[in-house]
Amino acid sequence: MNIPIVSSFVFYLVGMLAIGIYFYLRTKNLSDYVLGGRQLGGTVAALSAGASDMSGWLLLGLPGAMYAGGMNNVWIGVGLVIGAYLNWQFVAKRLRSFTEAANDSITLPDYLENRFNDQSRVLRVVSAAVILIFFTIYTSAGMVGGAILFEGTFGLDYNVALWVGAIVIVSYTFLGGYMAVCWTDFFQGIMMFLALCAVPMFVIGKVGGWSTAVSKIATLNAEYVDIFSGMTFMGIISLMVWGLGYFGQPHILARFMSVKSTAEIPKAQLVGMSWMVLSLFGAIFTGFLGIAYFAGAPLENSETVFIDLTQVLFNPWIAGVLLAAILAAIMSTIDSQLLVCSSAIAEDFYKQILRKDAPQNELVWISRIAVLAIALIAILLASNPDSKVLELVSYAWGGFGAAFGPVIILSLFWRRMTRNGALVGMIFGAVTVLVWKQLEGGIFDMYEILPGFILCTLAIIIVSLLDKEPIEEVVSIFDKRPGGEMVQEYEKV
Amino acid sequence: MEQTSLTTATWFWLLVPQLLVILLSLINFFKQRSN
Repeated sequence: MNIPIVSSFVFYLVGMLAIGIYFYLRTKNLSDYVLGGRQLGGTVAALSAGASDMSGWLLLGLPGAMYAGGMNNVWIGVGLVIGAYLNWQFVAKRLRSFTEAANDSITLPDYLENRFNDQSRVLRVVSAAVILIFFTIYTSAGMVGGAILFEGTFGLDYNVALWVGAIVIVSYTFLGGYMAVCWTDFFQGIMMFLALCAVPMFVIGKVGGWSTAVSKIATLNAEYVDIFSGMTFMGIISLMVWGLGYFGQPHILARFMSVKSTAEIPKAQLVGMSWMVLSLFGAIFTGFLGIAYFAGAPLENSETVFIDLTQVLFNPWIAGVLLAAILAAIMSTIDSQLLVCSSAIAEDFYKQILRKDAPQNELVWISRIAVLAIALIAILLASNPDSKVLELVSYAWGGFGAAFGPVIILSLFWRRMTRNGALVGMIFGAVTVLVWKQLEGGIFDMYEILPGFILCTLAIIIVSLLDKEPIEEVVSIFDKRPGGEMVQEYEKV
Repeated sequence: MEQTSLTTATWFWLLVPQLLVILLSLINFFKQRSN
Protein backbone atom coordinates (compact mmCIF):
# COMPACT_ATOMS: atom_id res chain seq x y z
CA MET A 1 0.00 0.00 0.00
CA ASN A 2 1.41 3.36 -1.07
CA ILE A 3 1.33 5.69 1.99
CA PRO A 4 1.30 9.08 0.15
CA ILE A 5 -1.50 7.98 -2.18
CA VAL A 6 -3.56 6.47 0.65
CA SER A 7 -3.03 9.62 2.76
CA SER A 8 -4.29 11.86 -0.07
CA PHE A 9 -7.34 9.66 -0.49
CA VAL A 10 -8.13 9.68 3.23
CA PHE A 11 -7.67 13.47 3.42
CA TYR A 12 -10.01 13.89 0.45
CA LEU A 13 -12.67 11.57 1.85
CA VAL A 14 -12.59 13.28 5.27
CA GLY A 15 -12.99 16.66 3.54
CA MET A 16 -16.13 15.41 1.76
CA LEU A 17 -17.58 14.17 5.05
CA ALA A 18 -16.89 17.53 6.70
CA ILE A 19 -18.94 19.26 3.97
CA GLY A 20 -21.79 16.81 4.64
CA ILE A 21 -21.78 17.60 8.36
CA TYR A 22 -21.63 21.36 7.72
CA PHE A 23 -24.79 21.29 5.60
CA TYR A 24 -26.54 18.82 7.92
CA LEU A 25 -26.65 21.63 10.44
CA ARG A 26 -28.25 23.99 7.91
CA THR A 27 -30.98 21.80 6.43
CA LYS A 28 -34.46 22.81 7.65
CA ASN A 29 -37.00 21.56 5.10
CA LEU A 30 -37.49 19.34 2.04
CA SER A 31 -36.75 22.15 -0.41
CA ASP A 32 -33.41 22.69 1.40
CA TYR A 33 -32.65 18.97 1.26
CA VAL A 34 -33.50 18.25 -2.39
CA LEU A 35 -32.90 21.65 -4.01
CA GLY A 36 -30.84 23.68 -1.55
CA GLY A 37 -33.78 26.06 -1.04
CA ARG A 38 -32.97 27.52 -4.50
CA GLN A 39 -30.02 29.38 -3.00
CA LEU A 40 -27.19 28.05 -5.14
CA GLY A 41 -24.66 30.57 -6.49
CA GLY A 42 -23.79 30.54 -10.20
CA THR A 43 -20.22 29.26 -9.88
CA VAL A 44 -21.13 26.35 -7.61
CA ALA A 45 -24.10 25.48 -9.83
CA ALA A 46 -21.83 25.51 -12.88
CA LEU A 47 -19.12 23.23 -11.48
CA SER A 48 -21.71 21.02 -9.82
CA ALA A 49 -23.53 20.56 -13.13
CA GLY A 50 -20.22 19.81 -14.85
CA ALA A 51 -18.90 17.39 -12.25
CA SER A 52 -22.23 15.55 -11.95
CA ASP A 53 -22.38 15.23 -15.72
CA MET A 54 -18.82 14.03 -16.27
CA SER A 55 -18.35 10.71 -14.53
CA GLY A 56 -15.22 8.56 -14.50
CA TRP A 57 -15.55 8.68 -18.30
CA LEU A 58 -13.74 12.04 -18.35
CA LEU A 59 -10.59 10.73 -16.66
CA LEU A 60 -10.68 7.12 -17.78
CA GLY A 61 -12.96 6.48 -20.77
CA LEU A 62 -12.16 9.48 -22.96
CA PRO A 63 -8.35 9.48 -22.43
CA GLY A 64 -8.48 5.70 -22.95
CA ALA A 65 -10.32 6.06 -26.27
CA MET A 66 -7.89 8.78 -27.40
CA TYR A 67 -4.92 6.61 -26.45
CA ALA A 68 -6.34 3.60 -28.29
CA GLY A 69 -7.66 5.33 -31.42
CA GLY A 70 -6.34 8.89 -31.71
CA MET A 71 -8.09 12.07 -32.81
CA ASN A 72 -11.24 10.53 -34.34
CA ASN A 73 -12.54 10.14 -30.78
CA VAL A 74 -12.88 13.91 -30.44
CA TRP A 75 -16.33 13.96 -32.09
CA ILE A 76 -18.21 12.94 -28.97
CA GLY A 77 -16.58 15.83 -27.10
CA VAL A 78 -17.66 18.26 -29.84
CA GLY A 79 -21.25 17.02 -29.58
CA LEU A 80 -21.26 17.22 -25.78
CA VAL A 81 -19.91 20.77 -25.72
CA ILE A 82 -22.54 21.99 -28.21
CA GLY A 83 -25.34 20.16 -26.31
CA ALA A 84 -24.26 21.55 -22.94
CA TYR A 85 -24.02 25.07 -24.37
CA LEU A 86 -27.53 24.91 -25.88
CA ASN A 87 -28.87 23.53 -22.60
CA TRP A 88 -27.43 26.48 -20.63
CA GLN A 89 -28.48 28.96 -23.29
CA PHE A 90 -32.08 27.92 -23.89
CA VAL A 91 -33.22 25.68 -21.05
CA ALA A 92 -31.53 26.92 -17.86
CA LYS A 93 -33.20 30.33 -17.39
CA ARG A 94 -36.67 29.25 -18.45
CA LEU A 95 -36.61 26.07 -16.39
CA ARG A 96 -35.59 28.09 -13.32
CA SER A 97 -38.51 30.51 -13.87
CA PHE A 98 -41.08 27.91 -14.89
CA THR A 99 -40.41 25.56 -11.99
CA GLU A 100 -40.93 28.42 -9.56
CA ALA A 101 -44.05 29.63 -11.38
CA ALA A 102 -45.45 26.09 -11.54
CA ASN A 103 -46.35 25.87 -7.85
CA ASP A 104 -42.68 26.01 -6.80
CA SER A 105 -41.91 22.56 -8.23
CA ILE A 106 -38.80 20.98 -6.73
CA THR A 107 -38.44 17.89 -8.93
CA LEU A 108 -38.89 17.29 -12.66
CA PRO A 109 -41.97 15.04 -12.18
CA ASP A 110 -43.36 17.75 -9.89
CA TYR A 111 -42.77 20.35 -12.59
CA LEU A 112 -44.41 18.26 -15.33
CA GLU A 113 -47.51 17.66 -13.22
CA ASN A 114 -47.85 21.32 -12.25
CA ARG A 115 -47.01 22.68 -15.70
CA PHE A 116 -49.83 20.66 -17.28
CA ASN A 117 -52.17 20.75 -14.29
CA ASP A 118 -52.29 16.95 -14.45
CA GLN A 119 -54.91 15.85 -11.93
CA SER A 120 -54.51 12.19 -12.93
CA ARG A 121 -50.90 12.15 -11.59
CA VAL A 122 -49.87 9.88 -14.46
CA LEU A 123 -47.11 12.23 -15.64
CA ARG A 124 -45.64 12.42 -12.14
CA VAL A 125 -45.78 8.68 -11.45
CA VAL A 126 -44.40 7.60 -14.84
CA SER A 127 -41.53 10.10 -14.86
CA ALA A 128 -40.62 9.48 -11.20
CA ALA A 129 -40.64 5.71 -11.76
CA VAL A 130 -38.37 6.04 -14.82
CA ILE A 131 -35.97 8.24 -12.84
CA LEU A 132 -35.96 5.84 -9.91
CA ILE A 133 -35.30 2.70 -11.94
CA PHE A 134 -32.64 4.11 -14.25
CA PHE A 135 -30.76 6.14 -11.67
CA THR A 136 -30.61 3.25 -9.17
CA ILE A 137 -29.00 1.14 -11.87
CA TYR A 138 -26.84 4.04 -13.06
CA THR A 139 -25.63 4.61 -9.48
CA SER A 140 -24.88 0.94 -9.14
CA ALA A 141 -22.89 0.90 -12.38
CA GLY A 142 -20.88 3.90 -11.14
CA MET A 143 -20.04 2.01 -7.97
CA VAL A 144 -18.96 -1.05 -9.97
CA GLY A 145 -16.72 1.14 -12.15
CA GLY A 146 -15.10 2.75 -9.13
CA ALA A 147 -14.58 -0.49 -7.26
CA ILE A 148 -13.11 -2.32 -10.28
CA LEU A 149 -10.75 0.60 -10.82
CA PHE A 150 -9.47 0.55 -7.26
CA GLU A 151 -9.23 -3.22 -7.21
CA GLY A 152 -7.14 -3.19 -10.40
CA THR A 153 -5.00 -0.17 -9.65
CA PHE A 154 -4.31 -0.37 -5.95
CA GLY A 155 -4.90 -4.05 -5.24
CA LEU A 156 -7.82 -3.28 -2.90
CA ASP A 157 -10.37 -6.05 -2.45
CA TYR A 158 -13.42 -5.34 -4.70
CA ASN A 159 -15.93 -5.41 -1.86
CA VAL A 160 -13.76 -3.29 0.47
CA ALA A 161 -13.41 -0.64 -2.25
CA LEU A 162 -17.15 -0.78 -2.95
CA TRP A 163 -18.17 -0.36 0.69
CA VAL A 164 -15.63 2.34 1.60
CA GLY A 165 -16.59 4.48 -1.41
CA ALA A 166 -20.31 3.91 -0.87
CA ILE A 167 -20.18 4.72 2.85
CA VAL A 168 -18.49 8.08 2.21
CA ILE A 169 -20.86 9.08 -0.61
CA VAL A 170 -23.94 7.99 1.32
CA SER A 171 -22.76 9.71 4.52
CA TYR A 172 -22.39 13.18 3.07
CA THR A 173 -25.46 12.89 0.84
CA PHE A 174 -27.53 11.47 3.74
CA LEU A 175 -26.45 14.25 6.07
CA GLY A 176 -26.19 17.36 3.98
CA GLY A 177 -28.51 16.70 1.03
CA TYR A 178 -28.41 18.90 -2.05
CA MET A 179 -26.08 21.63 -0.77
CA ALA A 180 -23.57 19.03 0.42
CA VAL A 181 -23.76 17.30 -2.95
CA CYS A 182 -23.28 20.60 -4.84
CA TRP A 183 -20.39 21.80 -2.68
CA THR A 184 -18.62 18.44 -2.79
CA ASP A 185 -19.21 18.51 -6.57
CA PHE A 186 -17.67 21.98 -6.64
CA PHE A 187 -14.43 20.81 -5.01
CA GLN A 188 -14.50 17.59 -6.99
CA GLY A 189 -14.88 19.64 -10.18
CA ILE A 190 -11.85 21.74 -9.25
CA MET A 191 -9.80 18.61 -8.56
CA MET A 192 -10.78 17.08 -11.91
CA PHE A 193 -9.95 20.31 -13.71
CA LEU A 194 -6.52 20.72 -12.09
CA ALA A 195 -5.63 17.07 -12.69
CA LEU A 196 -6.63 17.30 -16.36
CA CYS A 197 -4.60 20.48 -16.85
CA ALA A 198 -1.50 19.21 -15.05
CA VAL A 199 -1.08 15.79 -16.66
CA PRO A 200 -0.94 16.76 -20.38
CA MET A 201 1.32 19.76 -19.65
CA PHE A 202 3.85 17.52 -17.89
CA VAL A 203 3.66 14.93 -20.66
CA ILE A 204 4.47 17.55 -23.32
CA GLY A 205 7.57 18.51 -21.34
CA LYS A 206 8.64 14.89 -20.96
CA VAL A 207 8.26 13.88 -24.60
CA GLY A 208 10.27 16.85 -25.90
CA GLY A 209 7.54 19.27 -26.95
CA TRP A 210 4.34 19.24 -29.00
CA SER A 211 5.89 18.80 -32.49
CA THR A 212 8.07 15.91 -31.36
CA ALA A 213 5.05 14.23 -29.74
CA VAL A 214 2.87 14.59 -32.85
CA SER A 215 5.66 13.40 -35.11
CA LYS A 216 6.16 10.35 -32.91
CA ILE A 217 2.43 9.60 -32.92
CA ALA A 218 2.09 10.10 -36.70
CA THR A 219 5.02 7.75 -37.26
CA LEU A 220 3.26 5.05 -35.24
CA ASN A 221 0.04 5.52 -37.18
CA ALA A 222 -0.74 8.53 -39.42
CA GLU A 223 -4.48 8.01 -38.78
CA TYR A 224 -4.05 9.01 -35.15
CA VAL A 225 -3.60 12.69 -36.08
CA ASP A 226 -6.63 12.92 -38.38
CA ILE A 227 -10.09 13.55 -36.95
CA PHE A 228 -11.77 12.02 -40.04
CA SER A 229 -9.77 8.79 -40.19
CA GLY A 230 -12.04 5.74 -40.35
CA MET A 231 -15.16 7.87 -39.80
CA THR A 232 -18.34 7.79 -41.85
CA PHE A 233 -20.87 10.63 -41.92
CA MET A 234 -23.30 8.54 -39.88
CA GLY A 235 -20.54 7.63 -37.43
CA ILE A 236 -19.78 11.32 -36.82
CA ILE A 237 -23.47 12.21 -36.40
CA SER A 238 -23.93 9.25 -34.05
CA LEU A 239 -21.18 10.57 -31.79
CA MET A 240 -22.22 14.20 -31.97
CA VAL A 241 -25.86 13.53 -31.05
CA TRP A 242 -24.72 12.48 -27.57
CA GLY A 243 -25.10 16.20 -26.90
CA LEU A 244 -28.90 15.89 -27.22
CA GLY A 245 -28.88 13.89 -23.99
CA TYR A 246 -28.31 17.04 -21.89
CA PHE A 247 -31.86 18.33 -22.31
CA GLY A 248 -33.30 15.40 -20.38
CA GLN A 249 -30.81 14.57 -17.61
CA PRO A 250 -32.66 15.11 -14.30
CA HIS A 251 -29.49 15.53 -12.20
CA ILE A 252 -28.17 18.27 -14.49
CA LEU A 253 -31.52 20.04 -14.91
CA ALA A 254 -31.84 20.12 -11.09
CA ARG A 255 -28.82 22.50 -11.05
CA PHE A 256 -30.68 24.97 -13.25
CA MET A 257 -33.74 24.76 -11.00
CA SER A 258 -31.73 25.46 -7.86
CA VAL A 259 -29.78 28.56 -8.93
CA LYS A 260 -30.72 31.46 -6.66
CA SER A 261 -31.84 33.74 -9.48
CA THR A 262 -31.96 33.77 -13.26
CA ALA A 263 -29.45 36.65 -13.15
CA GLU A 264 -26.84 34.10 -11.99
CA ILE A 265 -27.27 31.94 -15.07
CA PRO A 266 -25.03 33.77 -17.59
CA LYS A 267 -22.17 33.63 -15.06
CA ALA A 268 -22.87 29.96 -14.41
CA GLN A 269 -22.96 29.30 -18.14
CA LEU A 270 -19.60 30.99 -18.68
CA VAL A 271 -17.94 29.16 -15.78
CA GLY A 272 -19.57 25.85 -16.71
CA MET A 273 -18.66 25.98 -20.39
CA SER A 274 -15.07 27.10 -19.70
CA TRP A 275 -14.67 24.29 -17.18
CA MET A 276 -16.10 21.76 -19.60
CA VAL A 277 -14.08 22.81 -22.63
CA LEU A 278 -10.77 22.99 -20.75
CA SER A 279 -11.41 19.70 -18.94
CA LEU A 280 -12.30 17.97 -22.20
CA PHE A 281 -9.12 19.36 -23.80
CA GLY A 282 -7.18 18.01 -20.82
CA ALA A 283 -8.73 14.56 -21.18
CA ILE A 284 -8.25 14.53 -24.97
CA PHE A 285 -4.59 15.52 -24.79
CA THR A 286 -3.85 13.22 -21.84
CA GLY A 287 -4.86 10.24 -23.97
CA PHE A 288 -3.37 11.56 -27.20
CA LEU A 289 0.02 12.46 -25.73
CA GLY A 290 -0.01 9.19 -23.84
CA ILE A 291 0.46 7.50 -27.24
CA ALA A 292 3.81 9.30 -27.61
CA TYR A 293 4.87 8.75 -24.00
CA PHE A 294 4.18 5.01 -24.01
CA ALA A 295 5.27 4.46 -27.64
CA GLY A 296 8.05 2.09 -26.57
CA ALA A 297 5.95 0.03 -24.16
CA PRO A 298 2.23 0.23 -24.98
CA LEU A 299 -0.26 -0.12 -22.14
CA GLU A 300 -2.31 -3.30 -21.79
CA ASN A 301 -5.42 -1.42 -20.72
CA SER A 302 -5.87 1.89 -22.55
CA GLU A 303 -8.30 3.20 -19.92
CA THR A 304 -5.55 3.42 -17.31
CA VAL A 305 -3.52 5.93 -19.36
CA PHE A 306 -4.32 8.79 -16.95
CA ILE A 307 -3.43 6.66 -13.92
CA ASP A 308 -0.20 5.36 -15.47
CA LEU A 309 0.95 8.83 -16.55
CA THR A 310 0.18 10.26 -13.11
CA GLN A 311 2.16 7.57 -11.38
CA VAL A 312 5.25 7.89 -13.57
CA LEU A 313 5.31 11.68 -13.88
CA PHE A 314 4.58 12.97 -10.40
CA ASN A 315 5.86 12.82 -6.87
CA PRO A 316 3.67 10.27 -4.99
CA TRP A 317 2.06 13.00 -2.84
CA ILE A 318 0.99 14.97 -5.91
CA ALA A 319 0.05 11.74 -7.70
CA GLY A 320 -2.21 10.89 -4.75
CA VAL A 321 -4.11 14.16 -5.14
CA LEU A 322 -4.39 13.72 -8.92
CA LEU A 323 -5.60 10.14 -8.57
CA ALA A 324 -8.16 11.22 -5.98
CA ALA A 325 -9.60 13.27 -8.84
CA ILE A 326 -10.76 10.01 -10.45
CA LEU A 327 -12.59 9.14 -7.27
CA ALA A 328 -14.00 12.69 -7.30
CA ALA A 329 -15.28 12.24 -10.86
CA ILE A 330 -17.05 9.00 -9.99
CA MET A 331 -18.44 10.21 -6.66
CA SER A 332 -19.74 13.53 -7.98
CA THR A 333 -21.97 11.70 -10.45
CA ILE A 334 -23.21 9.02 -8.04
CA ASP A 335 -24.17 11.49 -5.28
CA SER A 336 -26.26 13.64 -7.63
CA GLN A 337 -28.12 10.65 -9.05
CA LEU A 338 -28.71 9.29 -5.57
CA LEU A 339 -30.26 12.56 -4.49
CA VAL A 340 -32.53 12.78 -7.54
CA CYS A 341 -33.81 9.28 -6.66
CA SER A 342 -34.34 10.33 -3.07
CA SER A 343 -36.33 13.39 -4.16
CA ALA A 344 -38.51 11.20 -6.41
CA ILE A 345 -39.39 9.04 -3.41
CA ALA A 346 -39.87 11.82 -0.84
CA GLU A 347 -41.58 14.45 -2.99
CA ASP A 348 -43.23 12.56 -5.83
CA PHE A 349 -44.44 9.45 -4.05
CA TYR A 350 -44.45 10.04 -0.30
CA LYS A 351 -45.51 13.68 -0.04
CA GLN A 352 -47.76 13.92 -3.09
CA ILE A 353 -49.42 10.52 -2.97
CA LEU A 354 -49.04 8.89 0.43
CA ARG A 355 -48.99 11.66 3.03
CA LYS A 356 -49.97 15.07 1.75
CA ASP A 357 -49.80 16.74 5.16
CA ALA A 358 -46.43 15.33 6.22
CA PRO A 359 -44.42 17.95 8.15
CA GLN A 360 -41.15 19.19 6.64
CA ASN A 361 -39.00 17.48 9.24
CA GLU A 362 -40.58 14.13 8.42
CA LEU A 363 -40.04 14.69 4.68
CA VAL A 364 -36.36 15.46 5.19
CA TRP A 365 -35.96 12.22 7.12
CA ILE A 366 -37.89 10.28 4.48
CA SER A 367 -35.41 11.68 1.92
CA ARG A 368 -32.48 10.62 4.07
CA ILE A 369 -33.89 7.12 4.51
CA ALA A 370 -34.51 7.01 0.74
CA VAL A 371 -30.84 7.87 0.09
CA LEU A 372 -29.86 4.99 2.34
CA ALA A 373 -32.33 2.54 0.80
CA ILE A 374 -31.39 3.32 -2.81
CA ALA A 375 -27.69 3.18 -1.98
CA LEU A 376 -28.20 -0.26 -0.39
CA ILE A 377 -30.02 -1.55 -3.47
CA ALA A 378 -27.26 -0.08 -5.65
CA ILE A 379 -24.56 -1.75 -3.51
CA LEU A 380 -26.40 -5.08 -3.68
CA LEU A 381 -26.60 -4.82 -7.47
CA ALA A 382 -22.95 -3.74 -7.60
CA SER A 383 -21.77 -6.63 -5.43
CA ASN A 384 -22.16 -8.78 -8.54
CA PRO A 385 -20.29 -6.80 -11.20
CA ASP A 386 -21.32 -9.28 -13.89
CA SER A 387 -25.02 -8.71 -13.24
CA LYS A 388 -26.92 -8.37 -16.51
CA VAL A 389 -29.09 -5.64 -15.03
CA LEU A 390 -26.13 -3.26 -15.20
CA GLU A 391 -26.26 -3.48 -18.99
CA LEU A 392 -29.37 -1.35 -18.72
CA VAL A 393 -27.18 1.63 -17.92
CA SER A 394 -26.34 2.03 -21.59
CA TYR A 395 -30.00 2.98 -22.09
CA ALA A 396 -29.94 5.66 -19.43
CA TRP A 397 -28.27 8.62 -21.19
CA GLY A 398 -30.15 8.04 -24.45
CA GLY A 399 -33.38 7.15 -22.65
CA PHE A 400 -33.47 10.29 -20.50
CA GLY A 401 -32.39 12.43 -23.43
CA ALA A 402 -35.06 11.08 -25.80
CA ALA A 403 -37.92 10.68 -23.29
CA PHE A 404 -37.49 13.85 -21.22
CA GLY A 405 -35.47 16.18 -23.49
CA PRO A 406 -38.15 17.20 -26.02
CA VAL A 407 -40.81 17.24 -23.28
CA ILE A 408 -38.79 19.73 -21.23
CA ILE A 409 -37.85 21.93 -24.20
CA LEU A 410 -41.35 22.14 -25.65
CA SER A 411 -42.92 22.64 -22.22
CA LEU A 412 -40.73 25.73 -21.86
CA PHE A 413 -41.28 27.17 -25.34
CA TRP A 414 -44.67 26.03 -26.59
CA ARG A 415 -47.79 27.39 -24.96
CA ARG A 416 -50.09 25.02 -26.87
CA MET A 417 -48.45 21.82 -25.55
CA THR A 418 -50.82 19.55 -23.62
CA ARG A 419 -50.51 16.90 -20.93
CA ASN A 420 -51.43 14.12 -23.39
CA GLY A 421 -48.77 15.40 -25.77
CA ALA A 422 -46.18 15.24 -23.00
CA LEU A 423 -47.21 11.75 -21.94
CA VAL A 424 -47.33 10.23 -25.43
CA GLY A 425 -44.05 11.97 -26.35
CA MET A 426 -42.32 10.59 -23.29
CA ILE A 427 -43.50 7.05 -24.07
CA PHE A 428 -42.54 7.36 -27.77
CA GLY A 429 -39.05 8.62 -26.88
CA ALA A 430 -38.41 5.84 -24.36
CA VAL A 431 -39.82 3.02 -26.53
CA THR A 432 -37.88 4.18 -29.60
CA VAL A 433 -34.62 4.05 -27.63
CA LEU A 434 -35.39 0.56 -26.32
CA VAL A 435 -36.45 -0.85 -29.70
CA TRP A 436 -33.81 0.90 -31.85
CA LYS A 437 -31.04 -0.53 -29.67
CA GLN A 438 -32.16 -4.09 -30.46
CA LEU A 439 -31.88 -3.55 -34.23
CA GLU A 440 -28.68 -3.64 -36.27
CA GLY A 441 -27.35 -2.61 -39.66
CA GLY A 442 -27.72 0.47 -41.85
CA ILE A 443 -29.58 3.29 -40.21
CA PHE A 444 -30.07 1.23 -37.04
CA ASP A 445 -26.37 1.65 -36.25
CA MET A 446 -27.15 5.28 -35.50
CA TYR A 447 -27.11 6.15 -31.78
CA GLU A 448 -30.73 5.65 -30.69
CA ILE A 449 -31.04 9.04 -28.99
CA LEU A 450 -31.52 10.78 -32.37
CA PRO A 451 -34.55 8.80 -33.63
CA GLY A 452 -35.93 8.80 -30.07
CA PHE A 453 -35.59 12.57 -29.81
CA ILE A 454 -37.19 13.17 -33.22
CA LEU A 455 -40.13 10.79 -32.66
CA CYS A 456 -40.75 12.16 -29.17
CA THR A 457 -40.86 15.70 -30.58
CA LEU A 458 -43.22 14.72 -33.41
CA ALA A 459 -45.48 12.81 -31.01
CA ILE A 460 -45.74 15.81 -28.68
CA ILE A 461 -46.58 18.18 -31.52
CA ILE A 462 -49.13 15.91 -33.25
CA VAL A 463 -50.92 14.78 -30.07
CA SER A 464 -51.00 18.30 -28.62
CA LEU A 465 -52.49 19.73 -31.82
CA LEU A 466 -55.11 16.98 -31.99
CA ASP A 467 -55.89 17.49 -28.32
CA LYS A 468 -58.16 20.17 -26.86
CA GLU A 469 -56.47 23.53 -26.26
CA PRO A 470 -54.87 23.73 -22.81
CA ILE A 471 -57.13 25.18 -20.14
CA GLU A 472 -56.60 28.61 -18.58
CA GLU A 473 -54.80 27.19 -15.48
CA VAL A 474 -52.22 25.57 -17.75
CA VAL A 475 -51.45 28.56 -19.95
CA SER A 476 -51.41 30.83 -16.91
CA ILE A 477 -48.33 28.94 -15.67
CA PHE A 478 -46.75 29.68 -18.99
CA ASP A 479 -47.66 33.35 -18.72
CA LYS A 480 -47.15 34.08 -15.05
CA ARG A 481 -43.46 33.21 -14.85
CA PRO A 482 -41.20 36.28 -14.74
CA GLY A 483 -41.17 37.75 -18.23
CA GLY A 484 -43.98 35.43 -19.30
CA GLU A 485 -46.34 38.11 -20.57
CA MET A 486 -43.62 39.62 -22.71
CA VAL A 487 -42.98 36.25 -24.30
CA GLN A 488 -46.71 35.79 -24.86
CA GLU A 489 -47.01 39.16 -26.57
CA TYR A 490 -43.99 38.41 -28.72
CA GLU A 491 -45.37 35.03 -29.74
CA LYS A 492 -48.73 36.54 -30.70
CA VAL A 493 -46.92 38.86 -33.10
CA MET B 1 7.76 14.15 -45.13
CA GLU B 2 7.62 14.07 -41.37
CA GLN B 3 4.25 15.12 -39.93
CA THR B 4 4.68 17.43 -36.95
CA SER B 5 1.16 18.79 -36.57
CA LEU B 6 -2.44 17.65 -36.60
CA THR B 7 -4.33 17.94 -39.89
CA THR B 8 -6.07 21.27 -40.55
CA ALA B 9 -9.52 19.69 -40.28
CA THR B 10 -8.56 18.24 -36.92
CA TRP B 11 -7.44 21.63 -35.61
CA PHE B 12 -10.64 23.18 -36.91
CA TRP B 13 -13.02 20.74 -35.21
CA LEU B 14 -10.88 20.58 -32.11
CA LEU B 15 -10.82 24.33 -31.58
CA VAL B 16 -13.62 26.19 -33.38
CA PRO B 17 -16.78 24.72 -31.74
CA GLN B 18 -15.21 24.79 -28.27
CA LEU B 19 -13.87 28.33 -28.49
CA LEU B 20 -17.11 29.50 -30.08
CA VAL B 21 -19.25 28.30 -27.17
CA ILE B 22 -16.92 30.05 -24.71
CA LEU B 23 -17.07 33.24 -26.78
CA LEU B 24 -20.87 33.12 -27.00
CA SER B 25 -21.10 32.48 -23.24
CA LEU B 26 -18.81 35.44 -22.65
CA ILE B 27 -20.98 37.70 -24.82
CA ASN B 28 -24.07 36.50 -22.95
CA PHE B 29 -22.37 37.21 -19.63
CA PHE B 30 -21.43 40.81 -20.54
CA LYS B 31 -24.84 41.41 -22.10
CA GLN B 32 -26.46 40.45 -18.79
CA ARG B 33 -24.05 42.67 -16.83
CA SER B 34 -24.78 45.69 -18.97
CA ASN B 35 -28.57 45.32 -18.38
